[in-house]
Amino acid sequence: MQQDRVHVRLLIIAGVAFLWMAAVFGRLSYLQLFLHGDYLARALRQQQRTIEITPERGAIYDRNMRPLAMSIPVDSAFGVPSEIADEHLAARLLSGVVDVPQDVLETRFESSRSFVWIARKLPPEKAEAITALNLKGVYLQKENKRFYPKHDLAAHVLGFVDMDEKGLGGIEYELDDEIRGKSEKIVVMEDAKRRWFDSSQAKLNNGADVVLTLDEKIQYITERELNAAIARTHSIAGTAIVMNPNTGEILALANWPTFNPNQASEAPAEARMDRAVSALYEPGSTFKLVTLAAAFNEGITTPSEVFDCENGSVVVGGHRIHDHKPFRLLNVAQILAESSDVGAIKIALRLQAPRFYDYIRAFGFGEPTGVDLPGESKGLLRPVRDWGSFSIGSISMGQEIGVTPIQLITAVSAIANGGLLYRPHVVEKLERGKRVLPAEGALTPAEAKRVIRPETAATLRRLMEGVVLEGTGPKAHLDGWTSAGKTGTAQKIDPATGRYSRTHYIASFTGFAPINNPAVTILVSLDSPVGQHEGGDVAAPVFKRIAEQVLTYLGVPRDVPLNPKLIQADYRKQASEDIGALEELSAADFSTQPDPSLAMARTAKGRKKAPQDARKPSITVAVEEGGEVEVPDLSGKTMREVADISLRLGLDPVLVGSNLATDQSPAPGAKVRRGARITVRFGTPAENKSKPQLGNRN
Amino acid sequence: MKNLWRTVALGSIVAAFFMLYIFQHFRCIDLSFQLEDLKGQQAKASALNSELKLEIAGLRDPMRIEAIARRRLGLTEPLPSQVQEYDQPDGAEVAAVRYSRPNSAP
Repeated sequence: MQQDRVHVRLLIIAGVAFLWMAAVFGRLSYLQLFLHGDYLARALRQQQRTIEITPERGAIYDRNMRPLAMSIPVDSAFGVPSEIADEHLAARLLSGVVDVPQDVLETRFESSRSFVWIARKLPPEKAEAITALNLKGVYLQKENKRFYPKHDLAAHVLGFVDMDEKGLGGIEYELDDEIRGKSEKIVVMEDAKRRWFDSSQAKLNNGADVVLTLDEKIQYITERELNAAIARTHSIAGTAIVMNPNTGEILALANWPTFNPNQASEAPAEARMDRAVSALYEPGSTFKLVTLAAAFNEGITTPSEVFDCENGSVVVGGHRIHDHKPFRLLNVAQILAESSDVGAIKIALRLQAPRFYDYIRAFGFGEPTGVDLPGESKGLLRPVRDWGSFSIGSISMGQEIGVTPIQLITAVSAIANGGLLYRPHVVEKLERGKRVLPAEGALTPAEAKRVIRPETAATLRRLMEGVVLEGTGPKAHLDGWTSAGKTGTAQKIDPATGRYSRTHYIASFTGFAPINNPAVTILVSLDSPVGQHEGGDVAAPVFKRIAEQVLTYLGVPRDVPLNPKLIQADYRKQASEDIGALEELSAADFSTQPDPSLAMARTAKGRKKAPQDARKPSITVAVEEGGEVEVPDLSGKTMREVADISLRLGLDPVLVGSNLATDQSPAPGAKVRRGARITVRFGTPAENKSKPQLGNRN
Repeated sequence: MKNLWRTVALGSIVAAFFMLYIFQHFRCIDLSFQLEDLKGQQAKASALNSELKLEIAGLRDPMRIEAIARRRLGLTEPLPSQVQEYDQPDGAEVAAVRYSRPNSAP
């Protein structure tokens, strides 16, 4: 009996348990089988979000991989209006942190949108302050922000970006598509606390990194010297460019006024203008280089030919032109050294307009150089059919033509490197990861174009050295290196009158160093200097300061010794009172042992000296240990013989043509320094009779 | 009795199977959280790396270095004559006279 009761109770308990399990199981089955889709959809709506991954914008480096521009993720604050309990309180608290007016924030929080920005790309301390407020509905998310760690260094080359990292100037604009990368959307699953627990794999399409041809150190040197010159001369603007004449690579490009790309929106538009590629100006006397290059290349004159500069005044096409000095007879070398406008006009008249125009175009004027920077101007050059009666005269002295600094330095570089016009460029390569991207479009390397013969370039280089040694550019003389260049002092057009101003000038100097195997070409241009305004006075010293520092930095061997050796010597054959200008003497006029006959002459003139006193050296002489060699006569020799002789003497031969040597520059007997370049032309004597002789060294 | 134990044993196995399935499910979710957390840490480390690179670039700013050199250390730029080349050419010859000064009068 008792056993039956126990058995019944067990059955009841089992039955209840069974019913309970059946109920649970039934409910579970109902939820899982019939409501599965519904709950899944609700879960996905709550948990799943699509996020756009902003690609990392490519960095910009100098040629030595020093970063000039880079993007890093920073916090941006946003709000979800539906989650913000007290809009007024939230707006008041946040307004004090992010410097956005409270009413603006309130309006955003009261909107029906699911996402509103509070403030973007915040500094770390502000992001921390927002986090500390611990406001519901206010969150932080990462966005990339562009930084320029060197501040205003190379600002015009780098350019700047807007809030959405879209390039607005410089390389940032020019290569925006390549640097920007492609954004990707990923799907993420997040819980109620917005913690992610799943995400799809993002295919990273970060932007390409840009490696520039700029050198950070050279850029800094150039900017510093330009800024100092602007402060010294109170100019309203200035430009300085340093270029490798053998490749067209731009090593530095500086403009003033300048700006800080980190705060580009606060800078005036004038400061953001890249004058090096956009600003037009009349080059003035610097353009005489083009006139002479054309004349020499066509063989219509030589450096030693003499022109009558008519006391510094000439009438051409109804216009009277005055030189800055009343020059009379000048040879072509002196016309360049002294910058005679009258002389340049006479040479251009002999050249004639169509040929002159062809050379101007060949040197790249009147069209963009193709530099990989935005906003390049093609300059101002009227077609030859539109030239007036005096245009050839004007243009020969650098007026009636508008050029940009980049055009001018590219043309002078062609003279420096032996006659090849390279496309100037600032971009060396694009990289993604470790992979170098193929150059496309504007970055495709362009073939160099020959504009003048090597011997013409060699002749011009010597003449340009004369500008520094004997002409208008002595302040461009370097300590330790030879240099060559041309000064320019161009009158600006007065916008009020439309005529040339007598008070506002563009002072410039364009040159290169060293003369043999030039390592750098440098252009300096100052707009409206106050007080001194000649290119030789205000721009040439800047060229000197930049060149000396850059050549030292690049480790370019000196070709002029700095510390001359001092020896005791005496004049040979002449009494000391009869000595004329020191430049008229040569090493042969001195002796380390005094000439006895001279000692006797002195004694005869009443100077009571004992014979042994007369043997004492009377002067201390500083001599140049340049290791000069005398250029031999190479005429009639084969190419192999010329190369052998040159190597033995330590000269750098440039061989043009074929067959036997017929002409050379420098001429036989000239003294040059070891390592100097000599140009030798080959052919048959009859073939070369009609061609102009290579210029002689002055 | 024997049947009862067999039923209990079978039920336990089935229950254990379901428990294991549920455990794996939640373990998977747990690991997903950890994975996303680690991804976040990796992203933070990468961002920190970028920030440090930016800081290094700023510290190497030539203007900053010059300011420290001049103002704090009192340095100045060398004259060209103070920068000596180490590779002097052999056998340099007297080439030309540049300037002279008379010795003291007899």
